[in-house]
Amino acid sequence: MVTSAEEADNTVTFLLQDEDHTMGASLVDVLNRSSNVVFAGYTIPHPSERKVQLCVQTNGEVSPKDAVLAAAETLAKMCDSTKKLFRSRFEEFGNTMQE
Amino acid sequence: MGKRKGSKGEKDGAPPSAMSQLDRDFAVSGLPDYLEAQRTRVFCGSESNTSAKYFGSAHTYSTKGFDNSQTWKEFERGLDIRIRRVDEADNTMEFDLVGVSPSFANALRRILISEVPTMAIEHVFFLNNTSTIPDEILAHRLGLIPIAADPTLFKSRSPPSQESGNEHQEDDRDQRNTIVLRLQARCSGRNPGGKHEGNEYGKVKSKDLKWLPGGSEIPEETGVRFTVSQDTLEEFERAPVRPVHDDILIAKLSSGQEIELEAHCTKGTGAEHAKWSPVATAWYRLCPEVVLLREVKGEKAEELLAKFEGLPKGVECPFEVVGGVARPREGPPDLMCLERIRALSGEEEWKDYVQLRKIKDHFIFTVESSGVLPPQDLLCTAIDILASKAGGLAAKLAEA
Repeated sequence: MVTSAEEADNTVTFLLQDEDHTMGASLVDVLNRSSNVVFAGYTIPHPSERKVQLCVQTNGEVSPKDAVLAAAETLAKMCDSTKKLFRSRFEEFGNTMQE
Repeated sequence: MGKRKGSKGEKDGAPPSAMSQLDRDFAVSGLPDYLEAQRTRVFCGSESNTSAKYFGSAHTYSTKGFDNSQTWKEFERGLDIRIRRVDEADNTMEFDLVGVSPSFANALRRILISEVPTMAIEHVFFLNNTSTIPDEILAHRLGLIPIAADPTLFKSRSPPSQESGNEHQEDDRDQRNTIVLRLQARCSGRNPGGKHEGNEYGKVKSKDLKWLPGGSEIPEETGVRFTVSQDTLEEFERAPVRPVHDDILIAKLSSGQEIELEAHCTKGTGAEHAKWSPVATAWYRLCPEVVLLREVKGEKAEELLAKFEGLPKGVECPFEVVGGVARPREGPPDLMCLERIRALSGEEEWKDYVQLRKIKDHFIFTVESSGVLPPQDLLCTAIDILASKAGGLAAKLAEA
């Protein structure tokens, strides 16, 4: 899934196989909100190939790989808290409807 | 451009009693008012929207000493979800998703449409078709019929491999990955092509698709062999496989015409074909917000209300007058009067008073299920899929 294509200074381009805008945009978004990331962006070089190039530059505090790793973990945790909250709110909604 | 717009509204300022949510937000954030306005709101002008950009970088406001970064903890604190409406007859759910980025909301929408798996008819074996509809058209029509079957009880087919090109590999097809339906219809009516009395005459509907829990009746031809009958499973006893709707018209038969076929469902996702998409559609819009920038009272308040006369039945005026002073009603304004507010905010007389905005991180999300699964389950599955994508990437990176 992941191969590093180019490495210079603190910039790495990752190639995500079998991914699209769903993961590209979400990851870039989380990366950009991290204070150690200087630049994060993605591109889909060809629309008929399910490949995403993810370019990350950090300020040197962390490596780009660790930044993406942290972002992926953050995204997973964001999903979990969203699901948890949705479940409880849905239950509450069901209870109020019954009353 | 947005800067001038934002600052104008706030400097002219409304008295504290008319404070909007935005003004209250300003007190919390350390940003100057006009920047905070641009960060959190889209301004809907009469001609065009301004400040529609999303400021998603940690460093956007570093020169102002404002840290725009976000950790997971901060995300969790800012997150809010409120269910607005669940319509079981319509299989529709509407809810507010507050405190997320556009890409997160969009990821959920994209996954709902194209990556949540369902069961749909994929192979059709014709034994007889003397109707006017060609086999391939009929097969396509059948594919689009939503089938109520819990997809979690079935396995997906193996993904296309390098050797087979883009074609799916032909796995062993049995009770773990296939549902077999049978359709047998014959028109015995005496009025060829004429009157249809009841459903027996001529109209073939989705309810005529009968589930064969024991598997294919023609295994030699179809290559599908069940070792165990599906109805021995407890889950199927509770909810037998059937089309979601009974009254979908599949074909019309004239006297003497006949259709006999076996339809095999497989598990797939909307990415491959829309027939596997579990939603009719899933969409979101930003939450609108109407504000009065200056105090509107007395005659002018009545004038403002008069601007909203003749709204459709059940649509409330976005403003109310309390003690002679106009104020926006609680909650977002009705969809049906948004354009009226927008037009009003462009009028010479009202442009300094009325403003329509959208809250950038407040999404009103609607999920319209095709009926295969309830919308709340679809959303939970979509969130799980996004989490597993992220988790999978994290695991691969940790290994590397």
